[in-house]
Amino acid sequence: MKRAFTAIEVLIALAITAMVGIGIASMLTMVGDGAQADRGTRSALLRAHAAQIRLRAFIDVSLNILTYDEEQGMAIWLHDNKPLDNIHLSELRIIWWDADAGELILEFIDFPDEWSEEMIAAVDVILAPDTDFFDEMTTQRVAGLTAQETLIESVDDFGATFSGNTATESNRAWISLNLLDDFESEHEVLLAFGLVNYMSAPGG
Amino acid sequence: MTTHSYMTSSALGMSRALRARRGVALLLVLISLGAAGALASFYLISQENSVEIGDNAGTASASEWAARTGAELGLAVLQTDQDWRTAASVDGRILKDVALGDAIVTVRVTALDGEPPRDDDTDLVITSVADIDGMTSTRQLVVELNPDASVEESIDEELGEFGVYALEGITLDADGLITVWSRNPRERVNTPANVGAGFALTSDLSIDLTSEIQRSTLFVTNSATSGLQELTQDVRFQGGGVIPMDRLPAAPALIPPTLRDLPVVWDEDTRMNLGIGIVMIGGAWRNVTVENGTEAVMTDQLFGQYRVESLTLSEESQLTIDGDVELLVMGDLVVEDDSAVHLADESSSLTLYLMGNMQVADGGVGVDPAIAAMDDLSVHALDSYTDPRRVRILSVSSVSGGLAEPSLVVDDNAIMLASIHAPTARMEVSEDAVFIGRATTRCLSVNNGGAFYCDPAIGVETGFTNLEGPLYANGALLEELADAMATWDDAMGVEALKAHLMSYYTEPTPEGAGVSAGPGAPTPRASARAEAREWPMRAFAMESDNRPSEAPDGDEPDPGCNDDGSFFAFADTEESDLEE
Repeated sequence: MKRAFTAIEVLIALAITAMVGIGIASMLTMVGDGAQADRGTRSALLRAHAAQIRLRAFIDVSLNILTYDEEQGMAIWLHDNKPLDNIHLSELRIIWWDADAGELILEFIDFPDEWSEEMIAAVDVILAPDTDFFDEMTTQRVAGLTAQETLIESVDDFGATFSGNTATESNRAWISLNLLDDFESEHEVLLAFGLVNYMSAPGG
Repeated sequence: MTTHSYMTSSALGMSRALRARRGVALLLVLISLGAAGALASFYLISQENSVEIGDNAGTASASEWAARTGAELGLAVLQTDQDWRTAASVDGRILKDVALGDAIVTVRVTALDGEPPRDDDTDLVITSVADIDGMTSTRQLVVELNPDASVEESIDEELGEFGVYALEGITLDADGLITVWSRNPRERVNTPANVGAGFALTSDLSIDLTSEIQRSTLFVTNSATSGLQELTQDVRFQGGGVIPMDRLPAAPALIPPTLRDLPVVWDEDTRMNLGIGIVMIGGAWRNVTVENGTEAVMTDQLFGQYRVESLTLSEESQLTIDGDVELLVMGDLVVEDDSAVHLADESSSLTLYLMGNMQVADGGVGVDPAIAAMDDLSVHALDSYTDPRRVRILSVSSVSGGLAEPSLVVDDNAIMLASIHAPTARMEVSEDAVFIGRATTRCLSVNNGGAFYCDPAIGVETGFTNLEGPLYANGALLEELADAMATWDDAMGVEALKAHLMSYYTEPTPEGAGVSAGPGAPTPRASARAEAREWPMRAFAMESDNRPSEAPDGDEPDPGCNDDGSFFAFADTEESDLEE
C-alpha cells in the first residue's frame, strides 16, 4: 500500500512553499520597484539633459537676460544681429513659464516669409530699455508675428537666481527646475549658465 | 527466507518512496533555478544599454569640447599674420583633419554667404567640426577682422564712411526716406548707414512725421549742442556718437591740371541727335547736347579725359562710359527724359568734376538705360550690387571757378547710383526719385517720396567714426592730426587733405617688426586682429524647426538650417542633441 503524506507533512510543505513564494514575490516587487525607480531617474536625467541643452542654446550665447519674473518667465536679448547695441524686436526672446501646463515655452518674432526687407525694417523696431518685454511679445503674438517652441514639459516648479542684483546686471544665472518623471516623482534639477557674450543692456 | 523476503519487499517500497521525494526536490530546484535565471536575465536586459548611454554622453562631451577648441584654434590662426586666406581660398578649410585629443577636427573659414573669404571680407564665420567615432559636433564663431590699418589708410578725404554727411542741415519731409541699400555687401551683418551732422543745432535736423531715417546711426561733432548730441541715442537711430573734433575736413575738389589743360577737340557747340552711336575723342569740347536716342561714348581708348562746357542728355539718349574716364563739366549737367549716363561694363568708371549744377530728372546716372527709362521706379529695379564709387562726382571749389553753392537735384522718378562729394552743394532727392550710394553735401533734402539709399560698404571702417581706430588715442584725435587740422584750409582742395595731415604725422614702426621668432616659437599674433562672438546657431536651429514654411522652391534655405556649410550651418548631431 502506498504511503501518503501525513497532514503535518503537507502543512509544513505548504508553509515552506508559501514562505518561499512570499520571498520570491517580495524580491520581484523590490526588483520591479528598483527598475521603475531607475527608469524614472533615467527619464528625469535625460529630460534634465535636454533642458540644459535647450536652455543653454538660448541663455549661454545670449547678450543679456533683460528681465526675470517668477510668474511669467524671462526675457532674453539673444543677439545683436542688427548691430550697435540696441535691442531690436527680432533680437528678443521670451521663455514663458506656464505653471498650469508645467511647461517652459520659447516665443520669438517670426516675420512672414512674403514680407519684404522694407516691411520687416519698418516693424523690427528698437525697444526702449524700459519696455515691458512680456507685454511687447504678447502684442506681437496678437498681431500674428510670433512663433512658439516648447522647450521643456512636465515641469512642476521653475525658478532662477542670478550673480548680480538683477537679471540684466548678471552674466551668470542658475535655473532650478522640479521635473516630474513618468511616475509623477519629482526630481530637482539645478542648471548653471554663463553668458559668454554678455553685454550691458542699452541704458542699463 | 520469509523474513528476508519481507525485508526485501519493505526495503523496495521505501526505496520507491524516497525516489519519488527526490523527484519533487529536483523539480523544486529546477523551478527555483529557472526563476532565478529569469530574474537575472531581466535585470541584465534592463541594464544592457547603460554602458552605451554612458559612452555616448562621454563621447558627445569630448566631441563638443574638441569642436570648441578647433574654433578657438581657427580664431588664433586669423589673429596671426599668416596667409590663411590662400589656405581658405579653395573650400574655406584652414585646418583639415587635425587630431585634438581623441577627435579629428576640421576648421573652415568662410564669408557670411558660405563662400571662401574674399580679400575684402572682414566679417567671417569660423566653423569647427569635431568627429569622435562618428559622433560629430559643430561650433561656429562670427568673426570681425580688424585690419591693421595705418593712419594714412584710415583717412578718407571724401568721408566715405558716412552714407550722408551734411555740413549745414538735413531735411526729410513728405514721405522722404533715408535707409540702407539692402544690396550692399555688408547687408548680411546688417551694417547700418552712418549719418553725419556737421552742424550744431538740433533744428537743422528736420524729420517730419511722414518721413523716416531707418537703419542709421547719427554722428555729430564736438561743436554740436547737447540736444543734438543726445539725439545720437534717440531710438530713431541705431546708435552713433560724438566725434571728438570740432569739424571734419570736408573740402571741395580743385580741378586737376590735366583736365584744365586739355587740347580743344571741337571749338563749337555740339548737338548729337542722329539717333546713332558716336564716340567722342578725349579733349575739350564746348556745350554738348545728346538727344533723340543718340548714344555718345566716352572711352579711355581715346585718351579718356574730357572737358565740356556743359552736358545735356535728353530724349532717351545715352552717355556710355567705356573704361576709366575723367570728365570735367564746367557748367551744368542735365540728364532728363529717360536718358542715362551709364557704365559700359564692370571695369568702367567715371570721375566727374562738376563746376555748375546737376539736374537728373526722369533719367538715370550709373544705371542701365533700361532701368533709367522705367516708369514707377524703385530701388528694387537694381537686382545686384554695383559699387557706387564707380561713378564719383566731385563738386569743384569756387577757388577753381566752381559755383559757390551749386545745386544737385535728383527728381521726377529719376534714379542715380553714385558717390558724391560736394560739400558746398545743396542736394535734393524728391518726386519719387531714388538715390543710391553716399553723399557729402552742404544741405540734404529728401522729400516728396524721394528715397536716399546709403551703401555702408563704402569707406574705411577705421575712419573718423571709429574711436577705437588708429586716428584716435584715448578717445581723442591724435595730437599730430589735431595740429594738422588746425592749419587745414578747405581751399586747399580735397586732394591735398591726406598729404597735409600726413605731413604732421609719421607712422610708427610696428611693434616687433624685423624680429623673427625662433624655431618652435609660437607664431606671433594679435588678439585685436580678429574678434569673435559665439553665434546662437543652436537657438536658430531650434527656431527654424518650428517655422511653418520652407523658402519657395527650396532656393533659399531658412537661416539656421542651411547644411551646405554656409552661415548658419550645423551638424546633424547638433540637431539630434536638441531632439534628445
